[in-house]
Amino acid sequence: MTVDWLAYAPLILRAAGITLWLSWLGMLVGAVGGTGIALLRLSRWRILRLLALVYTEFWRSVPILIVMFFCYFGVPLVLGIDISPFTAATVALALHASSTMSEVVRAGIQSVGRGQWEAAQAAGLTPIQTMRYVIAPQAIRVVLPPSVGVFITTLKESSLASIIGYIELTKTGLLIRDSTDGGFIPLLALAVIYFLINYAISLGGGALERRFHIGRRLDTVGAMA
Amino acid sequence: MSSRRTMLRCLLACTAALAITAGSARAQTPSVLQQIISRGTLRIAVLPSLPPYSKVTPSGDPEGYDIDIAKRLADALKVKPEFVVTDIPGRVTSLQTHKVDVTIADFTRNVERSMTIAFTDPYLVTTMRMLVLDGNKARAITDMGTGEGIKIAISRGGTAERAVPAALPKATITRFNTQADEMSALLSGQVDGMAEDDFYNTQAIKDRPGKLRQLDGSLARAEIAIGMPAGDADLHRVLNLFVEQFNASGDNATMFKKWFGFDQPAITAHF
Amino acid sequence: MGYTFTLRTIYPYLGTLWQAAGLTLALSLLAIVISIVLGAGIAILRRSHSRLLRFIGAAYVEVMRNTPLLVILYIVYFAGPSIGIRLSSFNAALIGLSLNSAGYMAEILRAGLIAVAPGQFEAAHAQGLTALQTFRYVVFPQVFRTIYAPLGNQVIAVILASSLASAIAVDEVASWMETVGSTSFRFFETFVVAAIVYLVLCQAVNLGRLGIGRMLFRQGAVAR
Repeated sequence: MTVDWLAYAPLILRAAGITLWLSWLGMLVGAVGGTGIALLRLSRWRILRLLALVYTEFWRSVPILIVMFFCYFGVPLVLGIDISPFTAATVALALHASSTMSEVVRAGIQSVGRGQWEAAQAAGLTPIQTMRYVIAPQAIRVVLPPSVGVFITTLKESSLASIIGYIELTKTGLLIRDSTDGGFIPLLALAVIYFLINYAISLGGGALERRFHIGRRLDTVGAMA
Repeated sequence: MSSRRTMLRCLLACTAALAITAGSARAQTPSVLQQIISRGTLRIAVLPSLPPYSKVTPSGDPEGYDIDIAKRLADALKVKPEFVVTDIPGRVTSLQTHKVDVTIADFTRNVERSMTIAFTDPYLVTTMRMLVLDGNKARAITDMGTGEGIKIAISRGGTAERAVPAALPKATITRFNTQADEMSALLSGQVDGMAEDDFYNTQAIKDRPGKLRQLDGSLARAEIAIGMPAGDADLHRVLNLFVEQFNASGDNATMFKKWFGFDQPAITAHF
Repeated sequence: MGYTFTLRTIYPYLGTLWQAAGLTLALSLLAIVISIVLGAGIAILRRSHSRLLRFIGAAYVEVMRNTPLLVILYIVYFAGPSIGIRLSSFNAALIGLSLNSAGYMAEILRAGLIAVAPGQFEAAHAQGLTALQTFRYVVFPQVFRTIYAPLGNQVIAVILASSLASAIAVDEVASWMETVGSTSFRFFETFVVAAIVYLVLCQAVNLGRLGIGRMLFRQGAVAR
């Protein structure tokens, strides 16, 4: 059986777009949430620090596959609300990314010397102004490079959305395999497409690193997916 | 400091509000039939890769026997069909969680499942049989003996979970989420057989000339029906009437012949 | 329809949970060991004098770090037989997991090797230490100090990633969750149980790592 693989190109391209969008959204929500958790981790209140630690450790210790199933099937069962595969996948990705990003952001904030806080306070800046004008611009240099790694992890993790039936890149590849009996060609194509996307992102990340003059790449936690 | 405390209070209040709305939403949910009508769409769970029941075309749209039935049903209800692709374990759960209104996906009705969801009367009766590579030595399921050293692919959480161990107690059960994964495993020689719907198998054999074969004997009788959430008598009544007329009018037989290429066996048939 | 949380409904399935947890543990442990060996080989390649070998090492790491494990598992299990490599579900998962993890292990170990200044090899040689002694007393302590924290992270990552083996029919904990969930229709309870199993496994690794860190380095707070 000869298959006209080119006929599937638009479908695959669209699916790659969906995967990028899904991971980007998960990453964005995760980064915002992670920043919140990082602030809690650095709070002066022990209980908040503890809560943030438990949050981070919890999501680091549960496989993303289970989190996805939980968001897709578990939450609607108990709360009686409807959650689409897209929402479930985004939330699951965001939860995972937020725990990793909280560590990244925390490292970023801590990279700025304690003295600067005090100096800013002495200069009459409010805590928010201090964050906005003093800490954030410096922390971002430390935060950005590992964030690229987290984004790649999130993108790879998004392949698991296929298991809860969301038709992203992996699921599309499998569907093409199934309706063409294409054996391993669609699978290899999937691997190549993911590699190209992620490699491009990591090259972009490398350029960022050089621009910010930071040679250190933080080892992202739980990075396999 | 005080702003933090306010934030915390806000958070607590939000959580409480969420819990209350979730609770009340559950209490006054309108019936599924009402929801379908007011929404104007019928959400149908389908399997993505089970030709000729259903498959996805290069354009991304589903097509097949089950898909045609779904479109016919949506037409009858005067709403638009909306297809939700699911897998074998997802068929029951997506009804249970009200993600979809009906499941039309080569769905075998049984008492076990009926304790969680509801089924219409069957629109098709088939059997579960064993599909093997043509080179397999066995001619009938009984030739596999106790199944020692034999790997059988089944759908995770499907009716084969019971049927295969009953026939081949020592066989190694290999679970997949879609029939397509089972088929890939069979074609690549990762398993010795797959337990699936007779009609699906027949089509699979036709699509791959000389590669596949069915063993004699059946593993289970299967009544294929439309699945729906439990507890909605109105929807049940409407769907049953739809199925009854779909069967009696001969439309079902015509549609079956279009997709499967042979005449539909009698729905009351016993195998 | 409300949903009542009743663990009792899944009691009958707890017997198979132990087998599933055993498989998860066996799969993860074996994959960690294999990927450390493989990763060490690649780390050495990346420090080789040959440009080609360095390229191969770097390419391996990039490919593995940029391709989803799920896709790798599908390829090993479903595509392997067409080039004559037929592996059981467990072995295919083990190979896929090890190959993938080796990409990360290689980077972790390479960072460890970089931590040992090249002069130290010469110094050790000048002191009359054998290669084995150099490794035991000079290289290993420094490398281990650098790598033990990321190594712990990677062990956890492998345990979590082993859950993907369910997609190629390994009956480990995630598969147990999906199968029991869809036969008993009690998905919520099965999630909770599966999540607890992974939590216990991962936090055990975490505590073990903290313990080892304290014991070896006696620095009080251990950086993570």
